[in-house]
Amino acid sequence: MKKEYDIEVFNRIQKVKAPAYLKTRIAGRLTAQVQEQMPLVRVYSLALAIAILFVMNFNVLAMSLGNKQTELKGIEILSTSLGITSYNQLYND
Amino acid sequence: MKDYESFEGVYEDHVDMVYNLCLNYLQNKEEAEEACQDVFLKVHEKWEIFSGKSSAKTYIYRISINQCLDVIKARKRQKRFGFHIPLFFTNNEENVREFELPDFNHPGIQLEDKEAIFLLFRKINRLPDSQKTALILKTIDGESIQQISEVMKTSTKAVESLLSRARANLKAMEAE
Repeated sequence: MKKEYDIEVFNRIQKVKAPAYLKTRIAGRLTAQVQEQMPLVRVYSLALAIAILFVMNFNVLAMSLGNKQTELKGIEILSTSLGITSYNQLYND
Repeated sequence: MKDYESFEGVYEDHVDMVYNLCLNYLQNKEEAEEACQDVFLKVHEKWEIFSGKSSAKTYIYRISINQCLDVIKARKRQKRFGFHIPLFFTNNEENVREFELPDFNHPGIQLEDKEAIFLLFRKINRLPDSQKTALILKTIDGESIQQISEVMKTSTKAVESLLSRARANLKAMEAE
């Protein structure tokens, strides 16, 4: 019984021919892979669009911050010319 | 070394070798077919990087073995997280091993040899990966020690040692 499981039993394994449809399947997967890849032009244009979007956002933020500062300055000029305080304090201590 | 002008030539020359190796390693027809496809996709992808550093056969052998090891790892992971092991099994090692085995489906084995080879494969699957690789390449694929050492990136002495340890382990398993 033990002899049955001897390693020599492996000599009885026959070499098998690979099924013909494997080639078609590999070819199919190769073409699918090529189709899945995005063309370089599209990748670059997408990167450019994102970069432009970031720059525009940054500009809008910078401009809105600048406007707030000039608005504050204008209020201070008006309050000093009228002789009133721009802060919320009733008595000039 | 043979120079291949097209991927098709490489495929035609090595497909049977890869398919048989996958079959012997995975012992399942469907998994071997899937692994074989993956091997050739990798060969196609890396063919330019290879550029004749070792023979095409050695290179494809290496990819095939790594692919088979990946399949086995994935199989073990799947079974660990799935519910393949019944909730009420006895704490017997042989019983647990039973559930680690794939559906044995090897078209190169005759019906009368199926049981003997299945039992031997079950023991071989318990060997460490390096011993299993050396044993399959030597005893089933009939490769030379030199070729195996190139595939496994090791010395011929190390391959001989792996083979003798694998045989000793198999004998020990038989005595269990």
